[in-house]
Amino acid sequence: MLFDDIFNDFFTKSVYPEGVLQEVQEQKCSHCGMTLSEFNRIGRFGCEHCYEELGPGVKPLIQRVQNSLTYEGKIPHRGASALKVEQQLRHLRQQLQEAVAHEKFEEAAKLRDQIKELSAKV
Amino acid sequence: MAQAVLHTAKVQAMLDEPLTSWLKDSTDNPIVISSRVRLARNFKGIPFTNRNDETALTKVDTMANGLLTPLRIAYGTEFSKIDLMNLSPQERAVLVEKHLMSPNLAKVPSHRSLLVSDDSRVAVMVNEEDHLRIQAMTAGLNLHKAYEVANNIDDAIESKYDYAFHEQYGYITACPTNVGTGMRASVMLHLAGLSMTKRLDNLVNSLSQLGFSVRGLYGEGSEALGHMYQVSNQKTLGVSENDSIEALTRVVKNLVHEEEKARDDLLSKRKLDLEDRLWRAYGTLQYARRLSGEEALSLLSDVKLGQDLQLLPVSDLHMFNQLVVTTRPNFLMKMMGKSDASPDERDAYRATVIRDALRS
Repeated sequence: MLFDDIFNDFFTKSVYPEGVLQEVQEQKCSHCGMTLSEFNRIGRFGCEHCYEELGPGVKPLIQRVQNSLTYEGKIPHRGASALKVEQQLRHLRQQLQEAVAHEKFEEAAKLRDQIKELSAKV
Repeated sequence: MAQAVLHTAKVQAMLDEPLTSWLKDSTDNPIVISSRVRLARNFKGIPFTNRNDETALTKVDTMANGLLTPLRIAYGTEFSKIDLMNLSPQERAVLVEKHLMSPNLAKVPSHRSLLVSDDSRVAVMVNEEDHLRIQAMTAGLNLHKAYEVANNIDDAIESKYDYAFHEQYGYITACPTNVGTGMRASVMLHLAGLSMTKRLDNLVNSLSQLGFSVRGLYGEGSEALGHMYQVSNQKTLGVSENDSIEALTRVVKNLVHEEEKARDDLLSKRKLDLEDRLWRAYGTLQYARRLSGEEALSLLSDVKLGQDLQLLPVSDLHMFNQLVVTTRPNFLMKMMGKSDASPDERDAYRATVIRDALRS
């Protein structure tokens, strides 16, 4: 299918400059056996560990596909409470920046206190 | 020949009913057909489906059996598990035509299944590209409701099993285009006016620049049969589920507005041309003896437009949505009771089905 062709070509060429490709394609996930060349061919990871195990090319790939590297969505109820706080802190810091930029200093002060309080919990 | 398997009455009814019940819910606007939210999820510690690992596939299938009770409690109706191995290829194709599952799931039936609620509003695909694809559907434009339902289902599953979740990337999926929220929200629209006034291509281009994709009736690569388009979000990282849904809702409302403008334009500037086209479509569908699937959908789209603009004497509000399903090749062959009908036989039967529907 056309979509897959474009996609795979995109995977291969966008992440690795020519010449480097041969070498890095030998990278392999120790959990599921997915190799980088197979990943480039099918455009799918083989398991959750591939995201780390397939090497430094994964991050720029995700950045390209998603135009972001920061997760902003739902957090599972179990075992990720630190992450939830982190996400809240990120939002508060963003709001703080905006408040300062718009010279809303009272609001900024409040936000700063909230950030302090929340940071102490981590 | 596939082995005939006797289905439970519920599953049989799901395969037989021409129109999924929720599509009959009243909606404010005839341009928006339906909304859908799907969440891609994988269980922690189990390789993805593409590894084709027998142990992993079996394990996920067994875990899916354990979901029937939590899903019932979370959603409030019973769920049936349909093992795709127990369906004939034609029955699988019918479930695809009814948008209950993807063509991808139907391709390799072994270890694949569908968990579906009694009202068909919730369908969880098992061992698709991701271990689970949770889907919630509503009539009209109601993405918030669809997300709420999918989210509750997701919570119920997560309270029983651990998901693969990454601190930086969020929910881990087989394809990097889904990583993060794993959410694809989409809305099905009937954009006959924009197609006729040739303004759709420009709109589609600007939408894709804004991070939304526009596809045909049956998803990726499918043509816009019957002027039906699915608009969906592309990004799953860097944006929350709610923000994504709100942005898509805004975009859809704009599209509806543009479609209404196009219809007004047609009515005010080219009324006779429009009426001529719509009545011809109506006439053809009433009298044709043979109709291909493509021709049928294109003419049905014209008749729906005529119905929405009250230019044609068609009163049955569900006729279009129903015929979009019943005139698809596999549903048609199921009604014919023939799994090997030739295209000519199908075209003749399709014409009969449509004639009958327009007369009743």
